[in-house]
Amino acid sequence: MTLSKLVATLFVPVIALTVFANQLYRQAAHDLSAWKGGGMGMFASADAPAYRFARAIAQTGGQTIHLDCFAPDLDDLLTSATHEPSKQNLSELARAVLAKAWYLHEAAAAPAPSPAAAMRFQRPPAVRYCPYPRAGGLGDQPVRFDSVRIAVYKLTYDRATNTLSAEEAAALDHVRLSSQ
Amino acid sequence: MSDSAANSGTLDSPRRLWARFLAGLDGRSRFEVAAGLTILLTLFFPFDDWYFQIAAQLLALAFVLHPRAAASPLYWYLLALLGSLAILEHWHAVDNHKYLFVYWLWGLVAAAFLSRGDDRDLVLRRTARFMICFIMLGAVVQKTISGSYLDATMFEVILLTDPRFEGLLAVLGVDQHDLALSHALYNDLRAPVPAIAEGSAVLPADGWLKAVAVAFTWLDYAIQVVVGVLFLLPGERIERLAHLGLVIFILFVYFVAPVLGFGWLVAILGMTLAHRRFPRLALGYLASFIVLISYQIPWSKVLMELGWLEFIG
Repeated sequence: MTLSKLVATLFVPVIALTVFANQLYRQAAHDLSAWKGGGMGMFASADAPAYRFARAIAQTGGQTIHLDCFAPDLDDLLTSATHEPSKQNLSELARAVLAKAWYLHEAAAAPAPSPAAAMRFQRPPAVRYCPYPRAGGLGDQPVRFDSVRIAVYKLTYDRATNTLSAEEAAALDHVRLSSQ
Repeated sequence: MSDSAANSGTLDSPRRLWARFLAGLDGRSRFEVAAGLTILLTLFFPFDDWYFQIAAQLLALAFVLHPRAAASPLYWYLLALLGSLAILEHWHAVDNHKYLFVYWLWGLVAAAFLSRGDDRDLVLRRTARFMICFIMLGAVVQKTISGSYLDATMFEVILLTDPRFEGLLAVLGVDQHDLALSHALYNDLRAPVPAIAEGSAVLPADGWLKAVAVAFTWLDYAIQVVVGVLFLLPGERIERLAHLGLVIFILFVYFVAPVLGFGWLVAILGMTLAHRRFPRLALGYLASFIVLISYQIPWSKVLMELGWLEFIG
């Protein structure tokens, strides 16, 4: 076999196996979801991206705010932090949240709970901040948060009891430095 | 249409058209067939990124106007490069089959760089075989080490909470009230603002749904082991069996898990291997493209409209 044919034949296997090995390493070392990262793990594990989510809880002037409104750049960081909740990814998201100017939009209209959840429904004061001004809100004063807690949760399912549980998998508290 | 038919303004019979189609297909090299199908894949199931979609559309246009354009390494290099960029940009979020899509594009680049047609076909055949084994056995490795696959936990929770399976489960007779409740509980549990104080909920999984989950688990696992191993082994008869298994895999798996771009890619890999070597199986792969397209029909809704399915949503 000529060298060019050998290189052409091995090209894809070398790339694919390298990415696969990297995915396995990151799965073990950084909790990367088996479904992501080029590791052929779709439908291989209950730890799918759909069963991971992040919550961001910010503090400003003694007020605690659950954030559920993001912008595209924060969405990308949120996805990275959720799929691979390494300290670096959580920290990057937290820093980006603190770097943004946030605007009070409205008291979030709490979605109606499902019938089953109605009896156990609990929702903190519904105040909604977004990292962009609200429509027609010219002159609204932006707020900068003092600190933020980023927590990534996993939904785990117990077949024996049919119980789906949200468990905190990783978390990071970040406080604004005076230079930020 | 034959020349005489065209000149006389009459139509060929379906049988003659079919014979002409088969002869035309057989006259094409493996590289040409793979290239043509891959161009369709870049149009039907592209990356979401605008730069990839625009390049894919322009290059497809170039292919229609001048089919030999797809023989150039540059043609595939552009697509492979832009696909790689799309992955690098959001590698955390990209699905695994998009990685495979890019590997295949690089495989076409590598083959296109070779000047002899036979060499191109050989490299493409080897790349396709590697990728099928990699897809099947890579998945088997992940499923074996995951800790939540072999005991059917993965399929059970997905069937209970993923709306993409609603239609299939309706056909299988799973209680739709239970599913609606499961979906609501799942959404409440993962709300950005906590909606369920306890952080857990009991899902209404009955014995039938659990049995379906176990069946899906072992059917999927078994067929991937069998197809992956068969494609590793030598021998024409074994390869024929491997192809048969792969066609069944495509028809079954992508009906249950509708990741149709992935299904197309796997069918292209199979077609690349079967072309000229196993003509009937190659036709099976071609038929599977049509079947995969038909999977986009919302069957459960159609059946419900026809009154053949009782659906409570």
